[in-house]
Amino acid sequence: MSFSPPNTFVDGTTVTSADLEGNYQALRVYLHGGIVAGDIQNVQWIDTRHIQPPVYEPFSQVQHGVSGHQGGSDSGLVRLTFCTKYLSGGGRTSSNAFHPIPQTAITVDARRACTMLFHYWWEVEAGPDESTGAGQNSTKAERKVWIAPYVGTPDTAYSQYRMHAQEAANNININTDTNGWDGSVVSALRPYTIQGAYQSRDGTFMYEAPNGITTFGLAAHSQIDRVAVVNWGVSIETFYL
Amino acid sequence: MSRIVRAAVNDGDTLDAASLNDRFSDYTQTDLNAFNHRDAAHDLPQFAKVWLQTYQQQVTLGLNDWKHSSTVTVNGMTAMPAAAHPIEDGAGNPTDMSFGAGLTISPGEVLRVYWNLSVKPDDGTNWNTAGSLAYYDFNNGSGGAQPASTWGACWVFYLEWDITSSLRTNYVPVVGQSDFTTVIGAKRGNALSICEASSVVPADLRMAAPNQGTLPIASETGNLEWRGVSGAWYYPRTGSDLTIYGLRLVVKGVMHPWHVGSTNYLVHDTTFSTDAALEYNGGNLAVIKQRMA
Repeated sequence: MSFSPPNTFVDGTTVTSADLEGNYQALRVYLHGGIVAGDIQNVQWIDTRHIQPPVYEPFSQVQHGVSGHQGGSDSGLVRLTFCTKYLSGGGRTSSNAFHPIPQTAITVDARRACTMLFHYWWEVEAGPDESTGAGQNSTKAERKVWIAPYVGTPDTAYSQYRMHAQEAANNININTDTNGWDGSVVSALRPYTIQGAYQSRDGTFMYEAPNGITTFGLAAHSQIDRVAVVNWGVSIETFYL
Repeated sequence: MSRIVRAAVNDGDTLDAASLNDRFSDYTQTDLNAFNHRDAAHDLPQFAKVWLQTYQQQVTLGLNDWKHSSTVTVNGMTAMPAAAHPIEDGAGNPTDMSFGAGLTISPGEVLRVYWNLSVKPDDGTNWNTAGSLAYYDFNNGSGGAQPASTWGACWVFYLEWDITSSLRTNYVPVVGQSDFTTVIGAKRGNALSICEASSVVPADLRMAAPNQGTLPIASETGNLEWRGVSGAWYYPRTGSDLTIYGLRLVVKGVMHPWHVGSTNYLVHDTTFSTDAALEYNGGNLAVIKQRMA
């Protein structure tokens, strides 16, 4: 079906906004849903020049093109960030609180409902934490930091996505339950990097996102007072088509 | 082929009926083509979904208990050939991914698989028993032996699929992967060249302080603790359609590197396995299928 403007114009007759807008609206309807297959050639007619060039968002480092968004950010050399028990329940084993990990969020503005793949990785150095206090895991070697993805708000890391949480253990000598950096051992016997406290993790999380703004990020539940997220990266890929 | 060729309206141009009618009439022509469509700004609503990305699914793996109050335990495998342990929910229910009546992968498409799982190895007490591939002796500096670990012992996770029927009772390793049952002398395992869908986690971690090439002090076990393991596998399909009905993650262990001649293997270490185990909890398995051409 080809387009037929609902209003035609005659010289000497007042042009009304209603007539003009009527034609515009009919044209909008036609172009955004009214074209039938018979109106379109059945051979390739879309060339590269017809495809909107991608837009690069320098802050979020995401590219937005006709098929979706791609991109992400990482720690580079200087963007070390942290997790801490002081923002997630003070180390109490009864706590299920998660706190967002600074800098690891990424937001995309989807033009259409789509599938989003959130890829993330991190490298943490956890502890040591020898602190005492009510409610804390008394076996210090079993204190951990969990990191999970969230969508929208950080509380979803626990409420919806805690099954994706991966953890690293406190840097504690498991034989003595004392500081893994204990000065009494100055040798390769007990290097802190291999106590299980220096770990890298990665994961991929799929999300069916609605049209509009969606934020992904990483959140932590820490039973350890200080966890350095030494290196990290987050990236997304979305598909409209 | 038709084409709309008309200059834009500029400030100061006279508005008359003919000009106005002509602009709308431009769109009455048939055989709309690249040029006028380009200017008419076709956008996402005109394009169908499920074209570039033709399928996606995600399932939760294992037992969802993030603080590990309850876990699933896999014991080290000693009887050969060993059956793989499918990741399950702790009640014996496999947490595999079902594709129902089947998911067809056509030539020109790629299947992308990502997974991760929370695991905790337990090295047990047999790591330094004679026959354990992870065990060897250092000089203790006084003419005696000091047991040390190679750090090579590991648990291996790999992907299997069912390409037979929707009953999902015929899982086999995916393309590029084998099931570690190949006979290699007195051992069973895989050449590394057929471990393309495998990921490993260490099965032990021992530390010892060397002193001028000797180990005067006994080694200590390290803090293996809970950790994550993850994997990714891509399968670009060529030739003809392939229908898959299920996909799952399995684990075997304890394994150890091995070599015969110039071929490197990952083989079962049945001695180490005798007292070793692996616990796991939750994770994620995500699949996306896309066209490449």
